[in-house]
Amino acid sequence: MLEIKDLHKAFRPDSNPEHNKTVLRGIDLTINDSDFITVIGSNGSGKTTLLNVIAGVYMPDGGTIALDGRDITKLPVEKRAKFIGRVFQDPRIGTIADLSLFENLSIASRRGQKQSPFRWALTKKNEEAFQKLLEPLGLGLENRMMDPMGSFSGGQRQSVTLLMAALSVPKLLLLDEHTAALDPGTAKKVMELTDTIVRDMKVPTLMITHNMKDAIKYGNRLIMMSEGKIIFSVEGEEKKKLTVNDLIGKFTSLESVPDSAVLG
Amino acid sequence: MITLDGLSTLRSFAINPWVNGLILGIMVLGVFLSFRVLNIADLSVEGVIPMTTMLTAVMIGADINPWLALLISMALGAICGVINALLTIYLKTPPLLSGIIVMALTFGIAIMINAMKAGQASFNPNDHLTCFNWLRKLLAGDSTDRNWLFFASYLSYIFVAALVLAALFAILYFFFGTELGMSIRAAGKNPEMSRANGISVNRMSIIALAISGALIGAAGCLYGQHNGSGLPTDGQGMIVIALSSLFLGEIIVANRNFKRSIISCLVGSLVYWYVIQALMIVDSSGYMLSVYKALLLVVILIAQRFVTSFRAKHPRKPKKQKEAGRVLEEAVIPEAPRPLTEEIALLCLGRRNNA
Repeated sequence: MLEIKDLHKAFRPDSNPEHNKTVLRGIDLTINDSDFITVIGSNGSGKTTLLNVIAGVYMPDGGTIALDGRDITKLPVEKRAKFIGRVFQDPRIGTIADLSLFENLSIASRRGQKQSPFRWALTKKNEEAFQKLLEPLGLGLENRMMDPMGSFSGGQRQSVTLLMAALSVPKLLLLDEHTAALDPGTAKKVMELTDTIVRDMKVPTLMITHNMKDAIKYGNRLIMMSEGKIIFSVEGEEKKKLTVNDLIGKFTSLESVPDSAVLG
Repeated sequence: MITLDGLSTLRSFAINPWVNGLILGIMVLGVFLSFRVLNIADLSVEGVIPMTTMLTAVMIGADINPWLALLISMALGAICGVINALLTIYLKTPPLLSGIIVMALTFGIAIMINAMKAGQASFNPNDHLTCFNWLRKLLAGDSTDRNWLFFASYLSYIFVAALVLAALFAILYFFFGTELGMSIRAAGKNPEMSRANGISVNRMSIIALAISGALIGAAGCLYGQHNGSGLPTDGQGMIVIALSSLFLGEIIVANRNFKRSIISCLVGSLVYWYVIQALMIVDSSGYMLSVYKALLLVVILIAQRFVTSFRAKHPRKPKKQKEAGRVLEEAVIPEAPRPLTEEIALLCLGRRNNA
């Protein structure tokens, strides 16, 4: 269970306080172990920053993050990686292009553990285990273990990243618009794979998406962010009844606020 | 008709590039680690080389075991690499600047030693044991034939340099196949992904720069033992030599994996010194050599561009693909038209973004 309390974050590009950009203005969010939460919100609403603060890329200015009762607010990214799996929007970031598929999976499988200079990175035992894992994807990746990751397509790379994030079963999965850079058909496939992985592994998941149909279709809870705050949250039966039109209604009601009030 | 002069030219052409190429090939491996594995332009080579050649000259002159001198030089080089990495990590200096600081520091040490030895940091290889001359003594025995003595000494250079190089090559190859080695490669290529997978990028860059420094230190030590002396100018142009060799190797050997990459460093180094030797035969005056080296690097860079684009256009055909992987994009997916409402929603998002 992840508990976020009163999270604040502002970016200070230079010493001029007028240039400060407040991105998170008091986020309170509890992610239960059975939660698959979709996050929507316009650009600049703080979705990605929220994910990055949870992952430890940015340190928050205020507030606390606790995972299973342990305060992880000050933990650096690489220490959090033990509990948190991440998939990025850019397929090129999630995997290492110059390393082979096998090597990428090996790195992910040892996430959060010590890297020994006396143990081989690639073992026969791992190879067979990974091939078993890749087979259900139906992409034929299990026959291309030694190919560099850069030779795979965006959809294939994103599928592998997803698998990598779930490989050493994390306590939390963070997906940042991970289908946004893919064509509609591939995006749909990857989304279905996501759903399967989240359900099979029972990993609590936070997924940012710009696709409102996905936001409604997947997960048990939906939250909407605006101006660094969570302004709307539905779950369970209520969420299932939600339509794309309802969400657009929410967006347009935001739209009716004069720009001056928003931009302040 | 081959004159005596022509014969010695031929002889130096056959032998000299091997000596330089093998000894400085170790340095190319070090630069490869910082430049290619970590993506850092580390200029500290220019200082670490003269520091280690001078120290080696002093150590050999003081009859310290040459192999111990080699280990000491490697340790010093490794310390320089660690300082370099710590400057970048804790002072947040750009890697280029950290390298320059270490270069200035080590070059300063070289000048200091030179001053302390009053410019006489040298030894007579006939009086002191080096990594090379034990073999020459073994080969030459009591022979007084000048040609045979000459041949024996070059054979010893080549054999010992190749031996050290092979040992370091094997250590590197195996090390970068371990979990730690793979993590270092990952951290250099994609720091963001590496952190997300629990790899401490800082720790990896410290280790990689330490190994890089140790290799450069080893090259400096052997270079000093070969020269029989150390000068503060020993490091001049070393970064040009190292990068030229590295790029040349990459042109000749397409580096698809780590093993091929380190092989390409050695191939590049040998070919580079053959080109330099050829230039020295064409123009034996010598004072133009640095200019030639700079121009050669430009030529290599131009060639690299052509080769890179050629390789991109003509990708290698996969050798054996058990079963052509079904490409995700090719899977038949019924294309559902996106509902209009969603288009409107996207437009709203776009407008807010522009506001």
